[in-house]
Amino acid sequence: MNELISMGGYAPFIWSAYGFFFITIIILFITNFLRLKKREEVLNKINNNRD
Amino acid sequence: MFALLKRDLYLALYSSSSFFYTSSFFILVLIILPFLFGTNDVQLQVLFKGIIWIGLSLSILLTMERIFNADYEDGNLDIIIQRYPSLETIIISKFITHWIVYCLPLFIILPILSFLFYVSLDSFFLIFLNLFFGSLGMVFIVTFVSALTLGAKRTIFLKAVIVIPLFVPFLIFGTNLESWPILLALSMMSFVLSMYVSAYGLRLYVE
Amino acid sequence: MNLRLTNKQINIIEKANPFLIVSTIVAFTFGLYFSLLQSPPDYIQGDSMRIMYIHVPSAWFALMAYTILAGSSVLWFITRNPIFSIIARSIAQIGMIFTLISLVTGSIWGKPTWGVWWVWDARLTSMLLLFFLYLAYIFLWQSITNKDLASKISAALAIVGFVNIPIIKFSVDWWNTLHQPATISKLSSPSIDISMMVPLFIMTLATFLFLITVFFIRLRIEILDNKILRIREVK
Repeated sequence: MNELISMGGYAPFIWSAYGFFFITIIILFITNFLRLKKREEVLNKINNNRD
Repeated sequence: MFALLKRDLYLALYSSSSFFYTSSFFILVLIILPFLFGTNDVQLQVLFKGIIWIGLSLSILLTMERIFNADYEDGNLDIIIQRYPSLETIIISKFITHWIVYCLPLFIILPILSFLFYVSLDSFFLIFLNLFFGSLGMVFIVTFVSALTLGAKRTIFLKAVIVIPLFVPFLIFGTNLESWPILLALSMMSFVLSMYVSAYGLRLYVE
Repeated sequence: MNLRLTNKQINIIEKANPFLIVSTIVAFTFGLYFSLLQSPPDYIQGDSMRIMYIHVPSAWFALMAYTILAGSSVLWFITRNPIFSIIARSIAQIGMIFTLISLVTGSIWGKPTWGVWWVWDARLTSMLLLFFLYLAYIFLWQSITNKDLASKISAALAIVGFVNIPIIKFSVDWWNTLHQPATISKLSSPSIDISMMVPLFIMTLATFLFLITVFFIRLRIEILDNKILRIREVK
């Protein structure tokens, strides 16, 4: 476990790189997902108003 | 076509102090150098070769909206296109005007500037040649980007983001004194590209 | 604007979402296991080589996304089918993010491996340029209000940019042979051993699945936008 965290001394590099990668893609996913949800909400509202 | 060119040049150079202003711009951009980097002559000679390109790029780039926009906004562009249905004529006329107003002053004062920055005579000729072909290519590029983005007002920095990557090939070879053939080739490629894309851009807006 | 997507195709895009998300997470889990735990550290580079497993897929997809963008723009010019304009717009943001990731992870990888955070060689400079090409493309879409006009201009610029990339790469390469004879080839990965192929392959697959997931979500956003617009027009 220790070896995993310290990564042979390169820990700050590896973890910052992997961290940046995953944080960025999660943000990318969430932003777009929320945008989609907002559109679906608008569509639902319009459809409900019609009926 | 010469009638159109005469008209464009007249309008652009109407305020006859245009030469003075553009020359001053180039001189002032270069004057910043000794202030920033000190007066070591060897260093200044090297920096001059690069900064002159920045001055040229800025001069071409920041004024790019003047190529077509004035006529477009007046509605004159429609009339000009009716008069000259071959768009290439219009594009070339605008290109020549832009070059004469915003590049030619540099070449006129280049001898003096090179003298101020300790540039040797043979280097001077090569620098002149490089700048000349580079300026042609860069103005072609700016012409077609301007034609594509005609309606957008006050978006000069966005256009700069588009144009500077397109300038990069010229800038890369610009400071290398043996690459004037490459710059000539690049500017011919931009010429061809610009003719097609500018015509496409103009047609988008005036139809 | 008629998207010319059949209902069946739209259905597939919608229904695929949960499957894609799950498979992305599974793939990344396996990928992380193999990248961080299962594969051995490099003989020379040590553990820092592991960054390659996220850097290389990001770089590949950054370039692939731009190819899709440019290709889609060309197809749009030829067929005028609005779906290509939408594909281009949807892939742009994804491509930009992957370019950013590849630049940052590459820089982080470079420091312990080659001692520098950055070097102006052909590949890196081209990647940086690619980032700005994406940026310009995205900004252009946002700044032009007439959407029809925006498609045409962005498509033209995407194609011009696509032509520009090899020119830049060639120019910087040429310049570097003149000025810096001994340039480090930054993306020359260590000789690929089978033990490194596996994590690389899995991470590439995972990144690809992620890309498809987000791409489909963005497509659905466009489809819904279109639907909402048409409903509002009818009113």
